[in-house]
Amino acid sequence: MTSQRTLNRLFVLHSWAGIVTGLLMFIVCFSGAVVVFKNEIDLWANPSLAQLPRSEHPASLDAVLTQLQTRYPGATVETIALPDAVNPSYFAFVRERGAPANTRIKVALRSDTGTVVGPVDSQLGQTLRMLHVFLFFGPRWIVGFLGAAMLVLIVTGIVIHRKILAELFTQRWGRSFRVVMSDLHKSAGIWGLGFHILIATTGAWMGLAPLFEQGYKYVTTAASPSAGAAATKPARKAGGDAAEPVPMQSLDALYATAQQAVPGLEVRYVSMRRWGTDTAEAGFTGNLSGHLASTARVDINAATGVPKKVHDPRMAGFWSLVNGLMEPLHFGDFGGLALKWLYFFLGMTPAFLSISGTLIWLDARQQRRREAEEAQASAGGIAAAG
Amino acid sequence: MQRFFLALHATTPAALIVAVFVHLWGPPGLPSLAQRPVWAVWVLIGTWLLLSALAAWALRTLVLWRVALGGAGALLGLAGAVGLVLGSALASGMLVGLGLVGAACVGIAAFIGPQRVQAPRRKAVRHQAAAAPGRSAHPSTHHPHHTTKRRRWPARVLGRFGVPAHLPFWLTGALAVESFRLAHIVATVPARSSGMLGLLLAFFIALPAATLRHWEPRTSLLLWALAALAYGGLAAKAGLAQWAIASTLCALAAGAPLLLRARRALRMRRAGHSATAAQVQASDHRPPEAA
Repeated sequence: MTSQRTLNRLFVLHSWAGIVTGLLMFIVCFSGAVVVFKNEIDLWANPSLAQLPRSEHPASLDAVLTQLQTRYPGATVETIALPDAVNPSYFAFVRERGAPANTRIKVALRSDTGTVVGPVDSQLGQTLRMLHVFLFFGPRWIVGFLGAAMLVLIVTGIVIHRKILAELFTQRWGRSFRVVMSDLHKSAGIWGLGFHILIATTGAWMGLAPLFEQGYKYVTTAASPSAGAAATKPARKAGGDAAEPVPMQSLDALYATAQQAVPGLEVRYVSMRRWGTDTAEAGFTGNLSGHLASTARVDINAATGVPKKVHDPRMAGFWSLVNGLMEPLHFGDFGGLALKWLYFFLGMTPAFLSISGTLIWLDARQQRRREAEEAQASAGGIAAAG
Repeated sequence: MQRFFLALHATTPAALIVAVFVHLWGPPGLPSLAQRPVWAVWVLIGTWLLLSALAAWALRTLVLWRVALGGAGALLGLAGAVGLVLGSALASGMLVGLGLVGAACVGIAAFIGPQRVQAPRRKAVRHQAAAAPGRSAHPSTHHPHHTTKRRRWPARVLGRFGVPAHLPFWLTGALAVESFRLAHIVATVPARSSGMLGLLLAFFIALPAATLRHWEPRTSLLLWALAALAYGGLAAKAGLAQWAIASTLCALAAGAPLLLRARRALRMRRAGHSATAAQVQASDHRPPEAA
């Protein structure tokens, strides 16, 4: 049995953790609930693409690349996104010659012929995702830390509100503002408890795992950093020296190689690096047929056609499999539209919890102030009377 | 300020819907939205802040929520209709979805109101809190008594020597900011990874240490000592002066309450010694000149 003193402490921790992270938590949770429909929003916010057909047999990747290189000569094609269940078209991210590294144009292509349609109208869905994942400007671990804070809030909330079953159905309308909000806060928190734990854990994992990974590598690497840097520099220079045009393998042949390396690979993106040089790479990323994991990836040397790195989450050990499950579990993009709506509504509950918690905290503060003022006034009155 | 803070929450949906309209009708003369330009982000942030400031200035709290929710609902419906007019893909489905969510917003705006809650009963609440300080319905009613009336020794001692009670949080914040700077602004090979580790240490060790200092002083001390060791290890590995300073500060944070406690005990002992002497003097009824 938890003592009253411990409960008070946990309540203070819950309150302060909530009020400090509340606004960011609200923004991240609210945008996250909306981002469940990212692909649908992206399609909807591009009226000029509405008439593009969905092809049963999409054009080959080589045809798509040729069309892009013809339309944007000298530009760098960085990524090609393949048609999926929502988007019927090919999309490519192209960096024009001389453009800064972070300025890429998203271009739409017909899926049946690979013909370039032109730049898209907007990237609204991706913009909302950038808000949810990066708060537009930050690194992803900020949201990861928020996930960890959310876990703290969940654990402290469970402990301080122990009558879980009773509070599932307790809503006392017509009582004081704080009681009404507190009932709403508790029932929303308990009804969505499983989902909240899921998104907080997966969010914290996706945001913080790279940090832990980098930190672990750093701690366990014996070589001094300067030696490591010195070791990589000549390799880069050598690569740069050899950056003369080299014939590339067919993208479709590379795709077939990737599917051989990871059976069941359903490619969503093809990323191309140093294209046209002997160190060129094509990275095939996507889902696995009949499996939830989303981090399958094959990197192939595009000049020789030899796979350089094969990542099959089914074969790469337990933690790799767990890592591969995080994104689909977090965004709920594996169960069709019904699951997305469920994620949307449940995703709104932590946003509501942020607001209701903030309102409860502010109301309690106002009440304490009022009481202090009244106490001061009455003390002043007594002193004056005395 | 409080109303602005609330308005920042309340106007978020409306600001996002304004961003939707901006994306549907990108203004000419600015970089294309196909590039995901930064101006679109600033428009969203600017709209959000402006709406929040206006709402906070013009509206009382309850009206603010009702206007924000009602406005968001109306804008959602309008956005759905605009998609239909522009002939977007999934236009009818989005119209239905946005319409339903918009209707829910308007419904909530209509539902909330003074009739749902009771007006605050100041005296009754105060008497209740005073009558049953340990058994209130909500722990917050008696929380201030714990924090203001009876503080445990670290807070009392630190407060006595002019050390602000929230200094450990400032230290944690400084550690996090410096780690962020090394990891993402300096971002060179040795600094980047050590900065990431520094961030993890700040969040998972220093922050709990700062949080627990009143409640579990020994655990807090252990955590600060662990942080000092870890930052010391980082200093040895990365060779950066920042980590050495961080380690020293964490060691100070670990040791300061102990030192202050020892000093206080010494003072009390001295005071006790003087008091005993005074007591002895007081018990001697002979006048001093007679001694």
